[in-house]
Amino acid sequence: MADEGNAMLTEQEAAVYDRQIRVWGVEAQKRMSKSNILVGGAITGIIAEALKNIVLAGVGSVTLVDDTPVSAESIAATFILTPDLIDSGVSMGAACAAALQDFNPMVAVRSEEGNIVDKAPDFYDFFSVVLLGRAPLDLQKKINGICRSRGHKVAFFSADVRGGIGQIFVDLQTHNYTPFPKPDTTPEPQTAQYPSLEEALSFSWKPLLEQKRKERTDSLFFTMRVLERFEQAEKRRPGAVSAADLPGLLKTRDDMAKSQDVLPEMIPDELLERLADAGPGELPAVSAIVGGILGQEILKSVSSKGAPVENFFLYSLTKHTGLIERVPPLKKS
Amino acid sequence: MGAMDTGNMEGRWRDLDYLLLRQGNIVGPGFEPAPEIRDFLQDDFKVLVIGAGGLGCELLKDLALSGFGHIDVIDMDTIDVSNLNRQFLFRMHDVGKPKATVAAERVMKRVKGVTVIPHHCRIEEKPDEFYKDFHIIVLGLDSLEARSYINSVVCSFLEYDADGTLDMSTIKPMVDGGTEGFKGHARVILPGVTPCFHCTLWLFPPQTTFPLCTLAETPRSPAHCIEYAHLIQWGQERTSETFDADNPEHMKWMYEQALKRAEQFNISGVTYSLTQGVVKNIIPAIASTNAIIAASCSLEALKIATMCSSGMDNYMMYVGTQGVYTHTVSYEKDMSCIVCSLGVPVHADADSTLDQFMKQLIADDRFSGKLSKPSVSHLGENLYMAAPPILEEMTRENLSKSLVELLGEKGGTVNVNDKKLAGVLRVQVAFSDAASEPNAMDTAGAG
Repeated sequence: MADEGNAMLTEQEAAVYDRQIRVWGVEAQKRMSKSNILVGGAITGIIAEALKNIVLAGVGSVTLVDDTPVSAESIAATFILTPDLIDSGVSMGAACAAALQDFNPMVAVRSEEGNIVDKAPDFYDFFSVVLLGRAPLDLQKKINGICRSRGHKVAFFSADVRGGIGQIFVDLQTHNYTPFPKPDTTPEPQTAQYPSLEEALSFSWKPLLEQKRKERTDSLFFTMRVLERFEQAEKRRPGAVSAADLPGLLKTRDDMAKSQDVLPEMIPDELLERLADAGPGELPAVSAIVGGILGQEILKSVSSKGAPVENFFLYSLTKHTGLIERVPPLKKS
Repeated sequence: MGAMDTGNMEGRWRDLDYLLLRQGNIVGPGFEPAPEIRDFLQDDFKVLVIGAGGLGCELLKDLALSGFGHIDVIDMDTIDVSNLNRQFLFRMHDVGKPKATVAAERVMKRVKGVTVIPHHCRIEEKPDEFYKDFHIIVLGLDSLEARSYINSVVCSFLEYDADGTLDMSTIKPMVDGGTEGFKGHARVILPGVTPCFHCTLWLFPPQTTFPLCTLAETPRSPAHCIEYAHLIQWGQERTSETFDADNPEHMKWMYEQALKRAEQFNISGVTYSLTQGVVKNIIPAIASTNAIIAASCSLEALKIATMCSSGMDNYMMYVGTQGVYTHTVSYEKDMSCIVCSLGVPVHADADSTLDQFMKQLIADDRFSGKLSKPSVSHLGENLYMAAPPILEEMTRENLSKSLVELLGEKGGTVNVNDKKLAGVLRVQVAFSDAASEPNAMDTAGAG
């Protein structure tokens, strides 16, 4: 027996999605079902986890662009692929699309041929969200720029996990949303303004470190910037670092600290050491945690319900918790 | 087992090795990196996952991918269509099949080399020895009662030496996860060391029950109208029938009655969906919260098993509605917890009767004025109940039994209840040599 509200959903949707509709309501579910998600960059464990979560939840469509062949490395951290696919000639995009489609027949999951680097700007018009997995910084900036230049808003997410450390970047441009209500209150609509990736990464470090202790940007943020800069300068594929690169990473840290006029000690050696050792690997459980957060952020953005992360989410295994960093910080009124 | 059998292709465990094969700043105390750790995890370590639902599916995936080679999973439920939005191991054609069985099958298919043994039954149906067999127990439960039960069983394994030192080898770690909508928690329980589930029972808000007078006289919310139909009207108007929440006609009747009542009192908001939710006590659930909490639990299990990193100390909360909020708190054990604490030490003669022992307690200075007609239980079993009369009669014969007969050769911890006590008094009974230990018993009556 369908309720008035649920009459907007098919019977199957109402049955499968019952438990989550009780969390975010039918309106939000309908908006999710109209959203089209584009996925580029390398489909690593965290991306697979986030995709599992949004496919289960019932987004409209997911389009994967990853023409790299399935390898032993790519199998390791993700549950959705099986070893028999290694060296089978199937691309990551195609293999993951097939696996993800299996989770929910109500979502259109497909693989697009080619490389995302070659896609013209108007290719992005079909999509409400772009999710970039592991990708070089230049490509991230380029695609973020394209998302910001289309006729309608294309939300941008990029995410990566290295060993026990994870990061998500969120750019929802101008985002109108209704927060989840606190008990016995009616929520007021809110608007959040997001900086572009370029703006976030070019912001000076000094003011971030000079904030009061509670608001001070965590060293993990700067550590990721050092890693990014190193990989870019050394023309490495993201993840192609190893323990041998530690001296190079420390030097990059020292140089960046100097040019930003901050103390190098603000970025501990230990964090860079862990990133160097991790190389391209991901701890599966860490990918599941950060992928869980990422999936939910995508759902919040397409449903316009719930206060989304502004604008970096960082996770470290040893802290057992996540951090949100706003860069640049919001100006206090 | 060769590499081919277990699917240990080149580089397969590289990510885990990064944690297990090197020293570093993040390791736990006493950690010694060695390839044997991974072998131990895969070949010898036994982990039990309780629940194969929202948390369970995610736990099985994460534990298997993290290198655990032997996983048992227990769940009494069958798969329902409303599970499919998050319990990703199940498909539409699995509806009706046992969760544990299907989950085990799917995980073994996807992760080469792991053995997952399903148990389709209630947790109470397994003997305590079953639980003793595992190195770690990870809980993906959805009820306080179930958690309470497992907590009691695991805490009952604790043994304290005669001088009150905890025998560390009797500690069986538990990792407990819970979720509801956007909220979740993950916690580590080392019985006897960190707070057990009972120590922190106050963390869980009381279940919502409405006073009958509100339901009958002054309803204000749609839930009041629904509960009136559920708890009062059904009994009055459909006296001979047992309400079945899965019967659509029954649920429709409940909804229509609730709606009528709501209209009477000018209350809006009664829907069929809400009716189901209230009557079945449905917990709203989404995939992401379960993914995050289960993975956090799996990480803690990995850390406990390998000491590769300092563990969570000891309770993490997650809220995903406003951005993301996580917070870890170090709760403290309740030193007088009736389930996991050592108890106040009392030396007694092994041959003294229960009656003599109780008189000894009453006379003990430490309890002066606090005991008048005590009741005594041991490991959940009533040894003597002072009231009500029917139970007093049933347990009276134990009064003349000796302590060694009732508690075993090593003595043990008993829970003492009394009208005059604010709560339960936990007493650790140690047997002494009556000739060499002068104690209060000398002054107790001969019984």
